[in-house]
Amino acid sequence: MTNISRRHFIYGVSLIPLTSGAFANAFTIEPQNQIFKNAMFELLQVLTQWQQKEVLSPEEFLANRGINFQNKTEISDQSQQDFIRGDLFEVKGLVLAKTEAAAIALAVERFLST
Amino acid sequence: MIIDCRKFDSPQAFNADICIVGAGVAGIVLARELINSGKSVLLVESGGKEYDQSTQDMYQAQRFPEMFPDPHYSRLRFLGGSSNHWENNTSPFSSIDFERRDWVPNSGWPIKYSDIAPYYSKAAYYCGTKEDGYEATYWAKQLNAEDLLAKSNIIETGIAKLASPPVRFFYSYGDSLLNASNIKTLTFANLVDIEFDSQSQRIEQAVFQSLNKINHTISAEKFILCLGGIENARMMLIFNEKYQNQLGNQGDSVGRYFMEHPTIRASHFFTPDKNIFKLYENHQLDERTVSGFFQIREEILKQTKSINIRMPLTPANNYDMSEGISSFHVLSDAAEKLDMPNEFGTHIFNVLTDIDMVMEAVSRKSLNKSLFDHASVFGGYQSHMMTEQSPYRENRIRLGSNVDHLDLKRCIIEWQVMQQDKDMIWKALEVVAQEVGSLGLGRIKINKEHDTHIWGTQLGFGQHHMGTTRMSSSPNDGVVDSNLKVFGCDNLYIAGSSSFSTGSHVPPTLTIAALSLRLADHLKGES
Repeated sequence: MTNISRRHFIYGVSLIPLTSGAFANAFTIEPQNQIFKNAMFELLQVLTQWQQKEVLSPEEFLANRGINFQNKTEISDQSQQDFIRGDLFEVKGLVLAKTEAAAIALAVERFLST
Repeated sequence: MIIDCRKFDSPQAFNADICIVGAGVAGIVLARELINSGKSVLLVESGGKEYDQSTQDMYQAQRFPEMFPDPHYSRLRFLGGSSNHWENNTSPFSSIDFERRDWVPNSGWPIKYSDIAPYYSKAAYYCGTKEDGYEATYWAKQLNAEDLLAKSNIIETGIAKLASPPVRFFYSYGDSLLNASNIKTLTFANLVDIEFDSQSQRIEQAVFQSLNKINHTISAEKFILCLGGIENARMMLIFNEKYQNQLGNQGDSVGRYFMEHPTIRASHFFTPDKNIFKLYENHQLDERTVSGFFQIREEILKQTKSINIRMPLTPANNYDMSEGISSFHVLSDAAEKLDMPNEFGTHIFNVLTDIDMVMEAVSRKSLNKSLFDHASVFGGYQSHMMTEQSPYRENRIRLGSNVDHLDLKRCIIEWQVMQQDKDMIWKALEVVAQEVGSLGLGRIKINKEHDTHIWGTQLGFGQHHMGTTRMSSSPNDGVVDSNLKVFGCDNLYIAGSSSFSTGSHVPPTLTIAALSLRLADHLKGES
């Protein structure tokens, strides 16, 4: 049983840009795992907030910025620039860069569609 | 020499050049600086060398806000004053603290930072934190740590120094006072009255009583009140009732502008690499503890029109950081009152999504047993954030109708954190959150959803009482002038944090000591 806690998710996902592959790996654990289920709520919150607040889909947003969703370094660098510019996205008080929020939202979207 | 006034069964009369009333930090520093000054000094203290309940009971207030620490016990009334139980946390004020800021009502001192800066080194000596300063660059080098905020134009590292063990001022400095040939210390002598001559604008004498209610008088060239932020105001209000507001109360400022240091747990800080935060850990060195904290740079405070926050980083595990547990408490408190908290849905959500930690809390409390290993895993940093409070007239000490054992009116404390201050503090946190991300240090979660709880049942206090006999350039909005002399009276001064015009975001004691040192120089210079 993999010990992925919600808190690991919060700073792990926020700080380590996701690739679809890495994200898919996270979801090989049993859905019965209560802690994993907690993490899902956090992930869904990012997507839900994005859908409520933003006009562009996360994929469109990243494409507009020329950001390759598969490229961790690019997402990380762009996220740091977002903070410098003040291009932020807040989810339940957690202050994220807009790029990383889009990456998380897109990853959740793709997972839900599989 | 020490004289216990309880031994007198008849009235006594004392004379001195300088009468210092109150032997806490301010009074002891002042008295010590006047050793061998050529002036005779009486240091007068309500209590004795040890805690005494009957004396302490005179600190009872008639009324104070529900969440406010009981002033009966948040202060101590014996030699050394509240230094007998303080944490010894020290940091200097900043330049901006002394400036007029149009977004902070009633801000601005009649002195500048440069007027007090020269005294901080010696003040640190008195506070036991040594004279090697509070510069982040210096301490980063000393501690072989990185100042992570050195390159930021937005936030910076502040330094806190504590003496370990804390300095108990009378324990540390009492012998030098008792052995000084020009200083007499009177104990168990409570200030109850003054005789003020309106013509000469001078205090002719002060009246003291022990609990046996025998009057003793002190005649002095100069009197200095060092009774603390609440008691200075209380006694000045009593005297002003008698003398029709001639003593620094021409503008109805005595007791007003009362400030504390609200201390809140309003954010969590998550980082992938806690090892880089070495400067922000507690470092134990040679009877001191030194640590860094986050604060906002002055230019940014001006740009964003914020007040400053002192953010130490306290490592916390998942259990400590649990939002589910916080929300569980909010819901429990509300249920007890048969009430519905704000953001009810959010709190339910937090409990459900953090159910493992809620179960952990229940198990620890009821069964004394831990359920989950990951509860003890490092989860990030909490910050018990000390915040500046703006000086508002409505926050005040005033006199009640109940009296103490010596028939002196007890005080009523009216105090709250104004919405404008709360808004500025949230804004300050947003500034920090953005910059922390810009620097690649981590992410901050601002716990605004717990706003009601943070400012309510979870609100902490520095137990710092400031502003009630504030310094000003005019009696219209102040009680004492730039030399701590009471407006309208030629020979009455007030020392301590009651004289602060604003309170900054750091503990006050270092600045109390610095101001006392400055006053001592002034008094010596006046002769």
